[in-house]
Amino acid sequence: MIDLLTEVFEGVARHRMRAAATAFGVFWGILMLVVLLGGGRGLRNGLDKLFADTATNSAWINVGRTSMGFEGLGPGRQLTMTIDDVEAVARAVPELQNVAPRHSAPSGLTFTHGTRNGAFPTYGIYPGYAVVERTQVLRGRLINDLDVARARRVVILGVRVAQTLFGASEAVGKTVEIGGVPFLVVGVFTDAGGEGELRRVFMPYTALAQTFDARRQVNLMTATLRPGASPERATAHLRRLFARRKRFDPNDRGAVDVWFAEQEYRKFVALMRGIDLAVIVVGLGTLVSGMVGISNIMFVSVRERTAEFGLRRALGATPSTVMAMVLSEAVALAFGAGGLGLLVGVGLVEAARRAELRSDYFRDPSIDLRTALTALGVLVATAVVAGYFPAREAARLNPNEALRSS
Amino acid sequence: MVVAVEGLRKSYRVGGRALPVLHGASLRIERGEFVAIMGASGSGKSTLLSILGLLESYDAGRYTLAGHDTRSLTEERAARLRNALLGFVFQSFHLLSHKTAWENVALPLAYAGVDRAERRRRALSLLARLGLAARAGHRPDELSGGQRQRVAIARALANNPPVILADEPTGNLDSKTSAEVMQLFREIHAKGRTIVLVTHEPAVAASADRVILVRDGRVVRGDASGETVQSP
Ligand SMILES: Nc1ncnc2c1ncn2[C@@H]1O[C@H](COP(=O)(O)OP(=O)(O)OP(=O)(O)O)[C@@H](O)[C@H]1O
Ligand SMILES: [Mg+2]
Repeated sequence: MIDLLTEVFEGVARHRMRAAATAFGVFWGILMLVVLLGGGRGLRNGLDKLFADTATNSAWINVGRTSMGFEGLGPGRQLTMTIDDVEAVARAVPELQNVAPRHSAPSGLTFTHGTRNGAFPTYGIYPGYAVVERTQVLRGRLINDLDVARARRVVILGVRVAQTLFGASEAVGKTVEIGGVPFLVVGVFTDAGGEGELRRVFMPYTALAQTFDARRQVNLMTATLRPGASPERATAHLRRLFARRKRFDPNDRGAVDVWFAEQEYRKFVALMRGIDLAVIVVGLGTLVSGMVGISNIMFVSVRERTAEFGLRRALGATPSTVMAMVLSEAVALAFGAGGLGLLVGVGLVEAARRAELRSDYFRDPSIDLRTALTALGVLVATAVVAGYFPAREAARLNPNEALRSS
Repeated sequence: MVVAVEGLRKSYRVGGRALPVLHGASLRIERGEFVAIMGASGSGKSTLLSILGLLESYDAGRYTLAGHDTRSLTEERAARLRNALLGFVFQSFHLLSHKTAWENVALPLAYAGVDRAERRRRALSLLARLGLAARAGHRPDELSGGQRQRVAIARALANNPPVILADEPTGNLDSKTSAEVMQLFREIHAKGRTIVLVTHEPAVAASADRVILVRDGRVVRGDASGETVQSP
């Protein structure tokens, strides 16, 4: 085995430049493949997380700034939504269900229970919001229609909020003061969306408006798409309704922003398909160019060493010994260069993960070791195929003629 | 009898046409003989030696090497016979340039399946016997022509084969170095090995017990032991 390795090393070392170029090609191909696989996994993880905690049929509606003039009004007008718009959408857009507002309480409101206190993002909502957000009750209940109708001063707490204010004791049924106003805790919830969402507090929109003076304002509207309804139709419907109510040009794309999770998810799926395709293309490219490169360098090496093979045959090498020698050179080249590419690639992906390189769309890139080793295995198998023809040429040499060739 | 050749015929294919080289060559060599093969350039001496060395096939006739009929040998079997029975010495040395002297000497041992430590030990002791101990770690391009040929002879002896085949081993050497190399062949012969040596030089052939003369693909003189032949 050690002998074989020495022979292999000497065989390859004689064509340093050529071997280096071939090896670099294989190295780079495998590196790109690994980085692409790892990056693709990161993207998938990021987007999965992004979509995990919202209903796939959810819709997020917001207004922005007009970009076109309309009926004497200039462009650049900042639009706002009110609770009347929410009611109008619920009435007039048949494609949507669970239409709800989500409006933030003024920031800096202090929550107090006994000696404990804290500040938490607090929103006024309708019950439909919980459907969109996939809020899950741990104890007690969610906000209901009656809470909204009567503007009851009730809240539900994210599980971390409950821990902060109540520790181990039961929060449901207790009173918490929010900016000095007492609210009854009716439920504790959890959410798949991660830490941030467990530090939130929800109350009926009507209670928020009355208590903290929201002046009928709404930051954000949410809804779900009725089963079977078309998101495109719903969007068109919403644009027309808002254009009429807010008096802007129906073609003004920036004035109202509608985001359907399902549509975005489809784009995401298409993107992932694109990445998979790129992986296949890079992978096949690496294999084919690696195969051609290795085959070429082995042919050159075999032809240059014709006399050497003749001599080895005279000294007792059999055709199969010669064949094995050339094949192992090809495999060593692929394995060495490919292995290094794999190592560096896995290192890069791992470094990116350690560095917590992440955004909304990207997190925890990783490379499944089995996939990587499979790639290397396929590469080595390719090297056997690539080395086969030069090896056969070397093995078939007539020893007498080979010896005369120098 | 270690070599028995009867009516050997051989043609090469050159550009689609058959070029006959041997036209029924016959000869016998006893174990322990030192035989020189002489003849004009192109008469077929090297071809005959390649066939004796199982490096080249033949078209017709019989060739028995140490009791093995060589007619229908597979390549694998021929390689094993070469490794066990034959040592080769060439005019152009044929040392591997990227290997040291001792590694070159050890090559036939590797194909015989000897482990590396033992190969090294045997190669070094052979080189020492041939006065090359100090050169064991040198590569061929660091050696003189005479030294290179002595390394090649050490390699031919490595597996302790009964027969040494040498094709113009002194062809690339000056007369003083030639004389030293021939002295070496005589010593090897004295230890009981059969030597078959192709040469153009009568001075070299003078070391042999017997001279076989090849002309136009036939052995015309000295084809069997016992015949007395003077150098031509
Ligand atoms: N492998 C080969 N293919 C084609 N022709 C060959 C081959 N080997 C030898 N010949 C031809 O066969 C003839 C005999 O060649 P060979 O080498 O046996 O002669 P030789 O007696 O050794 O000559 P020299 O004394 O010059 O070495 C020559 O005409 C040569 O050109
Ligand atoms: Mg010749």
